[in-house]
Amino acid sequence: MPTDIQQLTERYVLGKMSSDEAADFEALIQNDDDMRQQYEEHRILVQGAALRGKQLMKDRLRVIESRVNRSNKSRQSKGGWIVAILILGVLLLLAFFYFAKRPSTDELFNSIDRTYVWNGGTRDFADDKLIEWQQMYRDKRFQELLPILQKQSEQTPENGRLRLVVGICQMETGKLSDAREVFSSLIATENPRFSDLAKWYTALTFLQEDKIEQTKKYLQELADDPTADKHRDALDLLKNINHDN
Amino acid sequence: MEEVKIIEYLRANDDRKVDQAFEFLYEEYYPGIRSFILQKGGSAEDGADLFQDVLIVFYKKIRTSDFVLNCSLRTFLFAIVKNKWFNKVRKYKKESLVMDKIETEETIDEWAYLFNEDEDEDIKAAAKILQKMGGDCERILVYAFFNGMETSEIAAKMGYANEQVTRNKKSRCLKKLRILFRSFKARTV
Repeated sequence: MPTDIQQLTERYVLGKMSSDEAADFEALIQNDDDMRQQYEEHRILVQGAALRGKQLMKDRLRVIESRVNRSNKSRQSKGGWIVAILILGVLLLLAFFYFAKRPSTDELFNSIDRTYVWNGGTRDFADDKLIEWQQMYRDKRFQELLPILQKQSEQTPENGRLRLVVGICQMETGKLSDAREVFSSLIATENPRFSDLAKWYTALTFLQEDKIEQTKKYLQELADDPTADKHRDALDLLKNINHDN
Repeated sequence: MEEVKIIEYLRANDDRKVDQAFEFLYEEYYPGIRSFILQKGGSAEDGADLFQDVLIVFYKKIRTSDFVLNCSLRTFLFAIVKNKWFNKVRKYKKESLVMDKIETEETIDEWAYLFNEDEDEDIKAAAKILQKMGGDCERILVYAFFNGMETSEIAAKMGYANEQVTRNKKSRCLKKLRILFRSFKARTV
């Protein structure tokens, strides 16, 4: 087979001819049976080799594809871990700031102004006794005062003010259940003079025990009633508990 | 990797560079092209096959000396994908579809020689025979007719002393392939 027909065929099949050259070549093989036969055979060999190259390239691309997939999976997996660690870090940071900023119930309880004043007179006991007890109360001598007032209260159970002071003394000396019992009896009287204060101090007993839900329940009652005694204090304490200020 | 670099790597006769360029193309364009095929109702396997074909067309095209990329690589690759996909669909649906024109002076249809997938049985037989021949002959003829390497490039790649040695080798390989092919044809006729 002459080399030139081979070379022409190769250039034609591989698209290396200009359009004019290609047209000339097509005319050449069209008009010469022998030439056309040689072209046909050589075209098959050239295209066969090209096909073999394509098959080899496909094998190679399959290897590359799986290598890229493996590397992407590994990157995604690493990326997943990094994202998880970052999220965890952010959560820990948020938790840290949340709990670091959020005051404890002890801190909340101690932040409340508990200056106790017991004013006014009563016909239930002598003035000199009352003045002495009121002074003890202002001086926060609750431990000392409590048994005296409890005894007096048993004798004059209808004295709401005295019961409230007994309850406060119990609260301040850590007798929280006893204090709540007293406050509860005052709330039941529905006498707004004492029931609002009783609700407030009931809330404080629950706060000391870390019973936030019960604390909030009593505070909310005061917060919902703008005319209630301790309404403003209840709102402030609720805000601090909910940590939204 | 910049487009210029990709083309430079694919034009190089260095397998490592070619592989690096293909790896980049897989990472950058395969997910989008696979999604396109899935959206068009193809399977993941269709997507994988098609992307291989696209890379081969692209590889062969840029290895022709006069090739200039006149649009973004993405536009170029997607134009080939669409063309090949619609050709495949058309083959089954027997309907004519308007081909996307690539933003170059020529259209993809003008590259018919690159898309020729319907190799006839003779071509497949010749490929099979070459595969069986293996060795240097397989490499030389593949370099010449698939990779489009010049004789000097093949000589460098094969480690031959000069171009004449390469030409002689190539000629002998073609002769051997022709004999085996004729023998195959004689048996099958």
